[in-house]
Amino acid sequence: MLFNSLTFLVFFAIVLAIHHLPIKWTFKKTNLLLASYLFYAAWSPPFVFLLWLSTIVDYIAAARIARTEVQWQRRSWLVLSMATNLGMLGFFKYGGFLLDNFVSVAGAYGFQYEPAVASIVLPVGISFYTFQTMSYTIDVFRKNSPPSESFLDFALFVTFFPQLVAGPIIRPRQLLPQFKKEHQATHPQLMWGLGLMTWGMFQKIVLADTLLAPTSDAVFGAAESLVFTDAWLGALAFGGQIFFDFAGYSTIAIGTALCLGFSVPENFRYPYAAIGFSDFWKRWHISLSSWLRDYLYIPLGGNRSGLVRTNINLMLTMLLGGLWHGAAWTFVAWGALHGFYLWLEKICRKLFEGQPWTQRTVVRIGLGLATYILVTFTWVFFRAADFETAGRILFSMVGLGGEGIMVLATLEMIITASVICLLLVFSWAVRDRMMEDIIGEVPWWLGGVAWAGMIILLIITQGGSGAFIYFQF
Amino acid sequence: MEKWPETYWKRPIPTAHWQGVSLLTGLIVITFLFIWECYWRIEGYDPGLEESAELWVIERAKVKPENPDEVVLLGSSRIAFDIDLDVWEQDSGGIRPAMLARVGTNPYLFLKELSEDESFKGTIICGITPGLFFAPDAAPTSLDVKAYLKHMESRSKSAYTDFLLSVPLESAFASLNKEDLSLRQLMMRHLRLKNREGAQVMPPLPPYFGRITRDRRYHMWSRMEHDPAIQSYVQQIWMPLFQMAPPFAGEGLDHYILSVKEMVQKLNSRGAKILFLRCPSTGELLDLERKMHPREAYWDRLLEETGAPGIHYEDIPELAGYDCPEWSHLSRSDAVSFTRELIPHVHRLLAE
Repeated sequence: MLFNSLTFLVFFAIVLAIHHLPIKWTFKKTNLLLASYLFYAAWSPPFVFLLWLSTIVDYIAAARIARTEVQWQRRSWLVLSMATNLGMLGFFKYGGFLLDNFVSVAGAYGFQYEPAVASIVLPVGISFYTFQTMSYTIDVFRKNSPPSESFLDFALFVTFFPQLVAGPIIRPRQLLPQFKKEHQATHPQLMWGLGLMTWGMFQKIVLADTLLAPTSDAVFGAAESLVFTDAWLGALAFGGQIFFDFAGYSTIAIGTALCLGFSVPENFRYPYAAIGFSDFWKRWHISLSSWLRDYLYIPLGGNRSGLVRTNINLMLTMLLGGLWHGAAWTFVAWGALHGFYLWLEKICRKLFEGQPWTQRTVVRIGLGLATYILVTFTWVFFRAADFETAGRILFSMVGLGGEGIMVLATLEMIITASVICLLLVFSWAVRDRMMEDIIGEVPWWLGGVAWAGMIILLIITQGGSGAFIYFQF
Repeated sequence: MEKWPETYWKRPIPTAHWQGVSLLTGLIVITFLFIWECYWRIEGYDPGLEESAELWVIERAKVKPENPDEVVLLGSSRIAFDIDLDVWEQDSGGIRPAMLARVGTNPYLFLKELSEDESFKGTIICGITPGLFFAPDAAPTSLDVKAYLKHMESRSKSAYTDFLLSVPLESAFASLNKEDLSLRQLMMRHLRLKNREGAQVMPPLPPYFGRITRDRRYHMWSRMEHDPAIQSYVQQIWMPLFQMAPPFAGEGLDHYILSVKEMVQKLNSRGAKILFLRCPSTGELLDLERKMHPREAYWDRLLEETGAPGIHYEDIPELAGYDCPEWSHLSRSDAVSFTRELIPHVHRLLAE
């Protein structure tokens, strides 16, 4: 079920009420586990079997790994866990993509092959929960974490509904210990949790769906080249839309967990105020970028094996990161562009790092804007349905689109420009601060007015049916 | 083996006067919503359901398979406003049609879906609004149809509970009106800025002029029936809207009509029937429609090449005299008599 739906509001109210009943902690956890399965089954009940499979295999594999010091046995259990999770991911997410590419390559060499058309439905959130459970088994294998002593706790770790379908991807050490002791939100935690849920919904429903999506939809849906302004506004609007959509989801997830008494780490930290691309990836989808760093980039050798190898590792990580988002070459191109940017940044750092002029405010703002503009170029590949569309928009953005068409109403242009400017100014103003510190300094009545304003706009917007973009990943 | 840590990161909570914040928030929200609701009721708005994909899918599910008595109404807004389902049920031996028309859309894809559903053996009454039916598939109006069909294929289990929960709310609050009183619609209506010359922008849709019932029957808003100022306002919205896409012509039209013919043949081959219906339009809009989609080049051709029966309101004297308050749809009372007078002709043509 969607966070931004009436069903979720009723569902959450019931779960929260049961969680606050004077019952044993085990019963409360069981309530959360059953609620999480119900939450997932609301999309498609059969896919709950995949969650069970992942849970059972990883629980057993980690327990067996921890029980023995025989290396080949430990490795075998790890391979079983990885094969199960990556196999599920591969079949549901990449099966069709691989088949299509195989047919294309075969066709290019003169072998005409027409496979039976298989309609594979992608289970919601499979990329998120498979990565989360794999991190558990790998951590136990590396002896970074002990295996969970309780199957109930582990099942809840895999399935915990606030972050099940679109993250943040939580590490075992961040969540499993919280299930050991009874957790119930205090009044300030409950209020702040509800406040975060409202802020997340506001980002998703008002900012992403209502104010920015129409512009990006019009631009990316255009069948012809566009004029310079429309192409840029479309790309900027999508950059804002995907941020508010995904950061909105993460904020709701964090708030929902907090209402239940659990702490879930941040997933975004004002990414559009990043100075450079390594900074961007420390601020954007933090739980995925840190996962890729710890379980892919470092095992590949990280930066320990020379410059060439470091650059190859970096590019491989970004390419796979791109592919993680979707089974299409446009996502690979998005990852490749980010990999290329990171190379570029490394070169620039070598040349200019430590020079006093780089610390001047005007230079930092300039570098921040350059980062933002280059990131905006990458969003074109992320949003476009194919390379033809991406190419058309990119050419229009650099003034090579020829006689482009105008698809945006004046009002849409003003709304998009205003929202994006506010986003950048706000991000820059608070780039090194936590939201909690900022709210703590605001007079209480102003907090009440702002909260009421968000709720009123949410009600007037009457949105709520639009799925979150990251669900498809 | 390392043990689980006893301590872990805990989310900080801002220091605030939380009781004051929550009380003030509640007070502002409740006061605002009360004023907001009163304001729109004074403006003439009534509570009512929202058009939605779920509502359409629920109605589609009512069409029983293998039943030759089933009647399905497809089309755009005209058939939705002009056909009274109660009258149809009374005058057609208790058979209540399923209203699957969607305002502002081309019914082509709905027709395709029904023609490909081998279990459908009933009758389709397909409303033809020339400016929409003879529009290329890529027209923005087809997006809703695609979304509805996609929803039918892959709706989540919670879509139905969302609908059930929304019904009592929408039935209680007039201000819950997504098509007219949502933030976006209010902005579009009240922040009217001149668009750039040559910008391909969809003209604004008309404001509140109809409400939908649970079985998707549309009624015209009473103020629209009587208030010349609102009528004139909506009339001026129709004109650019109906000139958005150039008339479909040439090879594209040939292929299009051929594909409709194939659908008709597919339906007829298993005993299902189809009848095309041209509902009334009046005023300058009718003049525009005659100019853009001349009857002989579109309507007559459609009937001739598909072989399907059709009723054009201009051909039947008792259907030809209606006046549409805003040039495009019948008033609620006229819809009753129009339906009553239409039914014998429908039965006659389908029996031939």
